[in-house]
Amino acid sequence: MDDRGQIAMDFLLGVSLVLIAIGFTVQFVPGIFISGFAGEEKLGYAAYRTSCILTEDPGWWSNSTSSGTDWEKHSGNVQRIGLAFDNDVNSRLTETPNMLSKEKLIKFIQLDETDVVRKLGLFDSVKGTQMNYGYNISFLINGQSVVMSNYTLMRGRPLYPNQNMAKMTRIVLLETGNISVFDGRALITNSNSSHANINITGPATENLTIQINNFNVNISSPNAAFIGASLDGSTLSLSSNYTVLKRPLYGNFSSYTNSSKLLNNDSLRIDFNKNLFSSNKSYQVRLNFYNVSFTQRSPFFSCYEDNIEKNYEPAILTVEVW
Amino acid sequence: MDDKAQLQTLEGLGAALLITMTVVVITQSATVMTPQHEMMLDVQLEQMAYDALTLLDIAPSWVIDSNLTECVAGWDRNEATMKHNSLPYLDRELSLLLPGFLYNVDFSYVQNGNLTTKNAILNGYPTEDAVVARRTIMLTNSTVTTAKGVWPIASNEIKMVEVRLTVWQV
Repeated sequence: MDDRGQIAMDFLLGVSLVLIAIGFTVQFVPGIFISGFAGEEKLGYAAYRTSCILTEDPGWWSNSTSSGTDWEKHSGNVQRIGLAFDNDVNSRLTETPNMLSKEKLIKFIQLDETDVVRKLGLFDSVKGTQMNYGYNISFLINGQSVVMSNYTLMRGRPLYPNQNMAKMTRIVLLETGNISVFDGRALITNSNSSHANINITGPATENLTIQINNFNVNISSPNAAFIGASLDGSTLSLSSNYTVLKRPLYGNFSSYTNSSKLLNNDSLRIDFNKNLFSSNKSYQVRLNFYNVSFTQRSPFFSCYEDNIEKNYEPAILTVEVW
Repeated sequence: MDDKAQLQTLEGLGAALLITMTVVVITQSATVMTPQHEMMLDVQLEQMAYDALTLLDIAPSWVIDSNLTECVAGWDRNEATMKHNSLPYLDRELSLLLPGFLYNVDFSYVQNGNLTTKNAILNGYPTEDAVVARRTIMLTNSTVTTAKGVWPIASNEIKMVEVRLTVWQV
C-alpha cells in the first residue's frame, strides 16, 4: 500500500492540541479578543449614564449651610447637573422625570466646559491623566435644534462623519415658556356680545400665549367661530401681531383660519407678539367670537397672570459620546 | 537524513498564516457587531418605550389632550384586530413619539379574580428582538365616566391596569 498523502499521527496530535488550547483560552479568558473595543463599551455606559442623569434627575447643589435641587440659582456650588423639573427643592428627587425645566436648560448651556465634563463624568483616567471624551448633547424638536432665549440647546462638538461613537436617545418634554390656560366657559365679558376680555400686565419679556379649552357654543346657530383680536380698542392683525392654533377633541394643534368653525370641545391657542406689550402698564386684549357666549360679571375681564402654567413640547434628547 | 514530515510543517505554517491573515482582514475591514453593541441597541429601544409611556402619563392636560389614564379609561374593551385600532388617539400619540418603530399595546388587569390580558393596539407580530415597557395606571369610576368608557367599576372601587407596550423595529 502506498503510504504517501496520509496524515502523520504526531501532526494530528499537535494540531488537536493547538485547537484545544485555543478553545480553552477563548472560553476562560473573557475579553481577550475585544481588548481593542473595551473603550467603546465604556462609551456606551457613559452615554447611557449621561442621558439618564439629565432626564431623570433635578440636580443638586450644596454649600456648608444649605442645599437643594435648584442648582440653576446657585451655579457656583453645583454638585450634580440634572435637568428634570422639580417643584420641591428639598425633595432630593423629582416626581416629574422627563419634564425638563427651561431655567435649568439655559443654565446648563451657560455652564463652564470643564465643570460639565467633570460633573457628568465625561472623561477617562489613563495612567492618572484625565482624557476627556468627545461628546455632543442636543435637544431636537422635529429634527431641528431647539433655540431658547437666544441659546441653541446644544453642548459639545458636532460629530465627525464616520466617527465611532455611542449614542443614546431619550424622549422628553421640554419646557418652552409660559402659557395661560382658561376654560372658555369661565372667560368674562362686559356685554352680551360674543367677546371676552383678558387683562395683561406689561412689560412682556417673551411672547404671551393664551389657551382656551371648552367653548360655550350657541347650539341654535352652528357656525361658531373665532373672528379676531383687538388690543385696547385697536384691531390686531393675524400673523404679524398674533397667531392662532386649534386642537379638536383627541387631536393635535394645527393652524386655524379666522372665522372657521369652532366646536364645544375644541381648544384654541393664541400667541401674541411680545412687542405689543412693551410698556410698564396694564393692557386689555379683546378676543372676538361669533355665536359663543361668555360670563358677564364685574370686574369685566379675566387676568392673564392668574392662570399661568408651564408649557411643554415633546422633544428628543440625544447624547453622543466618542 | 529522514525527509518525511518536512512538508507538513510548511503546510502548517502556511495554514496558520492564512488563518491569521483572514482574521486580520475581517476585523479591519468590517465593523464587528460585538454583543455589547447589540445590548446598547436593546437598552436604547427599551428606554424609548418607557419614555413614551412616561410622557403620555405625566404630561399636563394642556400639552397632551388625553393622558394615558384617560385613553385607557375610554377604551371600549373590544380586542383590536389587525390594522384596526380601538384607541386611535393613543395610537396617534405613540406613532408621533416613536417614529419608525412598530408597536403593540396590551392591557392587563384582574377580572373576576383572573388576570386578563387583552390586545388594544395591534400593528403586527413582534420580532425576536422586541422589547416591552410597562406602566401601571389606576382607574376609578369617575375617570371612566368622564372618558365615556365602559369599564364596570363601582364608585367605591379602583382598578389597576398594566399597560404593556411592545416595540420592535423592522
